[in-house]
Order: sequence, then C-alpha cells, then structure tokens
Amino acid sequence: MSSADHGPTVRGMPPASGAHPHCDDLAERIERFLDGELDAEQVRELDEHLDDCLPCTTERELRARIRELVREGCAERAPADLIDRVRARLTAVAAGPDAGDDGD
Amino acid sequence: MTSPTASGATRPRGGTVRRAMDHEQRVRAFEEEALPHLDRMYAAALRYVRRPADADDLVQEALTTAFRAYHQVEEGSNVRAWLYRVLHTTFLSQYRRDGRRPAEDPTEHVEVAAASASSDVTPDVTPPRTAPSAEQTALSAFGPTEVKEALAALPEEQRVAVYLADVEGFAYREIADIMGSPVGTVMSRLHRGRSALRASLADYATRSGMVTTSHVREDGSDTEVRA
Repeated sequence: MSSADHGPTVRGMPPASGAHPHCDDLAERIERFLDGELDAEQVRELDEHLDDCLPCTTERELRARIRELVREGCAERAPADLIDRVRARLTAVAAGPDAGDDGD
Repeated sequence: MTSPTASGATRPRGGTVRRAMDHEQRVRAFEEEALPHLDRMYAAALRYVRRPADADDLVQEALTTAFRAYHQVEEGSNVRAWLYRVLHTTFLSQYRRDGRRPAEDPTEHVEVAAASASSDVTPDVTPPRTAPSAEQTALSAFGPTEVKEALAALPEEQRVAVYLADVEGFAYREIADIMGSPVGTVMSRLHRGRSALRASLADYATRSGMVTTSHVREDGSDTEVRA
C-alpha cells in the first residue's frame, strides 16, 4: 500500500527487472557483499539484481578475483624456525620477573 | 610494565582462570591459541614493515607483548582479532619511535567526513564499471605478484585495511578495533585501497600492451592511473 509512494525500489536498489539506472551505485553494495557485511535481506536483493544484470555480475566476479589474487599474493609463510624462537622467548618471559600474573 | 597494547575495544577482559595458571600452563595455553596464527601474522607483518627480517622481529615482539597481557584475556573472547590489534600497536610503538608518520593520504579525513555523512562510502576515484572485459583480459596476466606489488604501493593504512579484510576476512568492526579507527574510516580506506588496486590493474593492462590505451578509453576506462 505504500508502493505508490516508494515503488518497488528498496533502499536504493533498482527494480529487479528492466533498466538498471542505479548499477553504478551497486559497486559499493557488491563490495560489502564480498566483505560479508550485508544482512540476509540485502543479500537477497542483490542476488535478485545480479540474476538479471550481466555487468553487475561481471563486476562482482572481477572484484572477487582481485581479492583472491590479494590472498594468493599475501600467503607468505613464516621462517621455519620462527615458531621455535617465539616459544623460547615466551618461556623466558614466563619464567622472568615480568611474567604478568602479579599485575602491574 | 603495563602493556599499552592491551587497551582498545578488542581488549578481552577478565581472566581469573588464566591468573590461576602456572607459568608453564600459561605458555602452553597461549601457544595453543596464538601460534596457529603465526604464518598469517607474519604475512600481516610484511604489510607493515615489508622487510622479512623486520617482519620476523615485529611478530616476535607482538607475541611477547600479547603473552604478557594474556592473563587478562577472557576465555571465549576474540583472541585472533586481539592478536592483530597487538600486532598493530606494536608496530606503531616499535617502528614509530622516530616519530615518523605513516604515508597518510592527505585527503583521507575529508573523505571520512563524507563517508560518515552518507550511509555508503563516497564513490570518488572509483572507475568501477569501466571496461570490465578489458580488465578481465588483464586479469589473466595480472597475477598474485603484480597485485602484491600494487598493494605494497598503497599508503600504509589502506594496505593494512585491505589485507585485514581480504586476507584475514575480518569484519569492518573488527578492523576498526584492530586499527583503532572509526568504522567509517576503515570503509574509506578499503574503498580507496581497492580502487587503487583496480587502477593498477588497468594500468598494467595498458602498459603490457594487452589493451591499447585508445581501446580502453573507448570503453570509458580511467587510464589516468595514480601511482
């Protein structure tokens, strides 16, 4: 009944069909989707739009791919002996006077 | 000493259980919670300091500092986010002793104001919808190494934010706690950082000749890449 006022558009989303005049605004929404920051309703709205919009789908894939590349590029492993050096240090700290349990 | 790194919104509270542990138990409990994150923390450290030897030092320092504050940590709290918060503050205190400021984006605070004024982050430099097919073509040759280099070229705050979101998968709220920044600022950094990575991608495509400049411009892409 309020549709006369606001139409089917929900929170800036374009209608699920027809022209997509607001696709440019959806880049941000796609980003948040990939960040896991959309609620279930927003995800549903976005999915509905993506089903119907190739450019936005391409956009999502491109952004997802860049993230993947960032993950792959930042997958360095610690030097093999770092864990032993950390352990030795923690043991020394724990045994020392500054062990932390007596507080400050 | 009282650890300054234990402060902040991600600070887990309490810890009566751990207070009762003896030294050995505490070391073991801490190792169990922290050491599975060692490789990731090292990779994170490389985003802060770049040089492997420095990253090695930074991780050791951060874990030592975290261990000293560990008795305050409540069971079931978000230890992983807390460890990254300690890493962040350790970096700030250890590597900023000389008073050197980060390579901050001078326009950041302007954009933060804009970001908090609207519900979404202001889309400013984004060429988000341009020539996706050209960008996809470029992606076939734009690998992890190129992306890593592009990431390294970002201002520190953007680089760290993108790393924490894309690699670690932290929520905006967690990143805000880790970096000690408002959520709006985090979103702004992510937005700007990712836009810059996008621009690097387009630039790479152009320079490597996969896409001619004129072709990209026909598609409306922004080839005026800011380095």
